[in-house]
Amino acid sequence: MTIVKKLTKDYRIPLLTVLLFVFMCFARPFFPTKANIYALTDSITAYGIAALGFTFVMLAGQLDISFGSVMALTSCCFMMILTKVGFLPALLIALLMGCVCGAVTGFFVASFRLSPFIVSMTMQLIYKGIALTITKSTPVSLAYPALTAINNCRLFGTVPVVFFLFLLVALAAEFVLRRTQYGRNLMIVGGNISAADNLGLRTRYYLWSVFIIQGFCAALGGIAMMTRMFSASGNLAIDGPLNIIPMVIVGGTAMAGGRGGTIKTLWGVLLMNIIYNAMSMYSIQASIQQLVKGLILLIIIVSDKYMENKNAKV
Amino acid sequence: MKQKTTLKRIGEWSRDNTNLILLIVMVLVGALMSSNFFIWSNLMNLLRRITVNGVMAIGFTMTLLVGGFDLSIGSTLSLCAVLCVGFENNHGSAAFAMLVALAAGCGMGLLNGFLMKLTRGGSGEAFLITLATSMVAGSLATTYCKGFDLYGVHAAWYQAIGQKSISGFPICAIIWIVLLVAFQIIIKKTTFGRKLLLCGANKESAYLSGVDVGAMKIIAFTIAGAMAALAAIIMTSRTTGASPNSGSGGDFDAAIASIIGGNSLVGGHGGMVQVLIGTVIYGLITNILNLVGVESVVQYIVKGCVLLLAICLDNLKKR
Repeated sequence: MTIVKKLTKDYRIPLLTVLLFVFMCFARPFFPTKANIYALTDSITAYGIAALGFTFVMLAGQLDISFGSVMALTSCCFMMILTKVGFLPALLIALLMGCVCGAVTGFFVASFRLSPFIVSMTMQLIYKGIALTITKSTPVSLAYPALTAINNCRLFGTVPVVFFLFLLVALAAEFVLRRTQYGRNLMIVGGNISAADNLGLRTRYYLWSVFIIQGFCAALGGIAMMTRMFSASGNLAIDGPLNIIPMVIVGGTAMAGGRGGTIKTLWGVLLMNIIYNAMSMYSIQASIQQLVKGLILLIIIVSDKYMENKNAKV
Repeated sequence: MKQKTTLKRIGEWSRDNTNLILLIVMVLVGALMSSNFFIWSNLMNLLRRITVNGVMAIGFTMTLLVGGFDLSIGSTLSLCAVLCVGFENNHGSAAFAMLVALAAGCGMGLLNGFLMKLTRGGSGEAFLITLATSMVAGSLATTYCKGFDLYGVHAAWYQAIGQKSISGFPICAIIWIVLLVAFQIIIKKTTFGRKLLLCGANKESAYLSGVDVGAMKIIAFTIAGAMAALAAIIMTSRTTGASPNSGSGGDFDAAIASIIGGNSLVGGHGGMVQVLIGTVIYGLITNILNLVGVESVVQYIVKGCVLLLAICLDNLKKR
């Protein structure tokens, strides 16, 4: 009995994910085929990695909606310099650039104490503008050998190798959050920033760091996206925030900060993507799918905020 | 000694009126850039062009004043635009189509306001909720017109709203200015307006002094939705067409206009004078960038930087 209780309390989302997966396997015979599993795991990876970075931001009680444009900007740069400098240098430069983008956003939030919503909204506009300017508003397409090689590299016959990169990053991030001093301090900063200040933590430094981590993850996600699309444009991942926020919150990371983790996000990402995949399996129109996504996001946000502010008078 | 106090006074005045100074600078820059700047027709064209954004900024400012933030007005604009053009084409009655568009706008606003009341939220909650409702409104717009653009506005008086002028003054600009004056009076001179500002400034004390904070939020967000619908009517009458993406970015534009004008981000401070100043500054920035020949994608960067500057200034004033 205690096991059932524990399962339904602490492992609600993993349980739901597995149940939905099993249900879909029986309901739709095309669901468990190799082609669909490939499509599912392939489409998860890019936004999944970005969602891991977003988890850090949420844990610190902040919000960053600019990462979609950071993904676009870094992948545009990555594709543009790829033939000139080679794969590894381009990768390093793109990751560094993601960190710089995150650092700029974080600077305004951490040092000026501006509202993260509005700063990230503004930075999204700026990053998108830069990406569109350097690419002259045209997509940069390139079938670079290293990218196609990564794309063709599949484990167990169907799962792309970048999916395992996603799992690896999730595990590493969970280790950082649970087993290091940085991770524990970050939880305190997110849970109660003035308490963290009184404890003598350098809160400004922690706030800044999460934005840099987010920038790094967005850049990595952008490059992971390039290994399947081979084409970058300034409008890439413009709907990223709308897709990723539900994944992170469904996983169980609180918007107020201080509670959650990247393994939880991992399950949230899996669950939401299986739902999206299932909608396609039932041939629902794209615009209706968008509506369902919006409604899911709305319900998640409202219920989360309602529970958070339940005891407030107004 | 006397000079020092005058200097100090000038310093204080310029700190309080940064937006007005910016406006004067922009007008001077505009006059220097083009010799045709001060010609009546150019000014009227400018006025005609900024009206849609100005009407949106009125609604946005109402939500800002009550301590919220409405990102969904862009998508609401798209939804109302396709509904207005679609119903006019299908049913032939422009008045009926406008009523449908207004109802849709008010509906979206009501939804936002109700959810804000339910979550007892401030500007952070408003940001996330309206992000989600913008997705809902956008997909409803795409569903209604099946992804196609809609063309054709038939009634003459409907077209006149955006295209005709009364003694050299564009009709849409007259509507905008009447709205500005009306809302300025409502905000500054009525009990309702004071309650609204009190909610934005400090919702706990507003609650303790017997103001229904939830109702204020609902009204403010409904006004924002209605203004988006009105902006949609003006826009479609000018362009005689609508697409499900016609409002994308409209929320950013309205936010920039409202914040540059000097409305406080935390609520409780501001009004329609700021909206007027901000919208004109924003229109001038776009106009001057176009005159210089800056590409539209580079304009994103410039606009973003201007908004960032405005936010930093707003923050500086609070200290």
